[in-house]
Amino acid sequence: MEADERRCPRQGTQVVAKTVDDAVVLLDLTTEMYYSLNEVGSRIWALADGRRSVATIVDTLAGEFDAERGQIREDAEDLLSQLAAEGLITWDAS
Amino acid sequence: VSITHYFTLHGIPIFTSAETPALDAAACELLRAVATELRQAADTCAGITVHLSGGQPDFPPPPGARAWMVADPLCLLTDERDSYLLLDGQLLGTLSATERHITAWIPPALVNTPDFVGQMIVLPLLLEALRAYGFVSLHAAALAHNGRAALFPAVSGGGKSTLTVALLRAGFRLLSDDCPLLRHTAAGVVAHAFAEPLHISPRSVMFFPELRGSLHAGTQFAPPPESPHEHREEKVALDPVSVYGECVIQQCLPGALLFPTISQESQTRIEPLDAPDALLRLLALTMPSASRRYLRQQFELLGDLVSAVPCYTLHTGRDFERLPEYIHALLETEATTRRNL
Repeated sequence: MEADERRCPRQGTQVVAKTVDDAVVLLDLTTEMYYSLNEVGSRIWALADGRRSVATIVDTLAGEFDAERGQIREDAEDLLSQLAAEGLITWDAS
Repeated sequence: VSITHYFTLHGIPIFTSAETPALDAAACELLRAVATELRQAADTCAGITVHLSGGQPDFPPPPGARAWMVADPLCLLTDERDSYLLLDGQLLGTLSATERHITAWIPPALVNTPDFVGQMIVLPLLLEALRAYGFVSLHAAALAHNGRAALFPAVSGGGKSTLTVALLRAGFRLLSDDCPLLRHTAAGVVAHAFAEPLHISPRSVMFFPELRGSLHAGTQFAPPPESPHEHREEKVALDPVSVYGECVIQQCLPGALLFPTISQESQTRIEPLDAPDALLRLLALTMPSASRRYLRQQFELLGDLVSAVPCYTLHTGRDFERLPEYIHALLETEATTRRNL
């Protein structure tokens, strides 16, 4: 798990994001599929810049949201795995 | 020999040419409804050209062309430069995006169905050509009252035309009953008219006595007899101006976005809808584009629209006659809120 935490998620270059209220809606220009992220998901998306590791993102979220770090890490890893499976993010080495 | 006409649509010159009078009628059927016809030549270099031919294309769609819209029996392909429109697998039209030139080859069986040609062949290519001018078409009815427009996005058969008539007869002004054009302006996203004839089912006509007298031979919107798509609900094309007078307004700021559903309840219910949910619903109802650049432009515009106006679901009940009152109240509330900000 620690090895995963060192990797850095990066937003796909083919993805366009639009912030609407507290949520982010994503459009993949290649597949023409749309995705909606909730408030926490939107924050994770914003932090997925290819420079921050999963561990750094989790630390940042733990400082911003009132939840236990283990739970935040689990949720962040779940979401990032889904985003990667959909081709919306890539992984950079730390 | 070509028969030519010049039109202007929201300042965009549109030039049509056709090889026969019947093809000319087909070329002009849609444009006479949505655009203004000019007496003299406009600057066609800056505009869109539409040519209708009675012949057949002497080339197939390029192999490997990508489908960017499939809506049986229509299919639109692109080779990342031009678009190709196929009806039942037969190539009937092209759009050169760079030259904004539409060519349509009309088979003999379709020559005398100008409404069908306008809707199924010219319209999809014209809407794509209009993207070069920043216009995005929305699958919605759009009606205005006191300077604010209510937009009702819905699929075909979702009640848009019936809603349109219900509001027109109460004095609302028409932008479009099926595909208003949206464009970013300095004032924000503005809805522009695309006032095609209303395509309404005879069943809906029964609710509105004033429409019965407007039905006449030759207005049937139906596929040609040899088409395999006989299941399409037959609708009647009605000119809104002939029934409701000068009811078309050219542009208006949107004031509310309402996704209609038909409910069996006695009373109409209007419920707030979150902007992200509204955006996802809108995206599902918006025509795709051959161009990724225009897809992005459309995504940005629709995101700005749902951020700028309140969004609702509209469950129309049996109190249909009170609909204008409800929509009017919503638009007035929105206008008051905006003034107080």
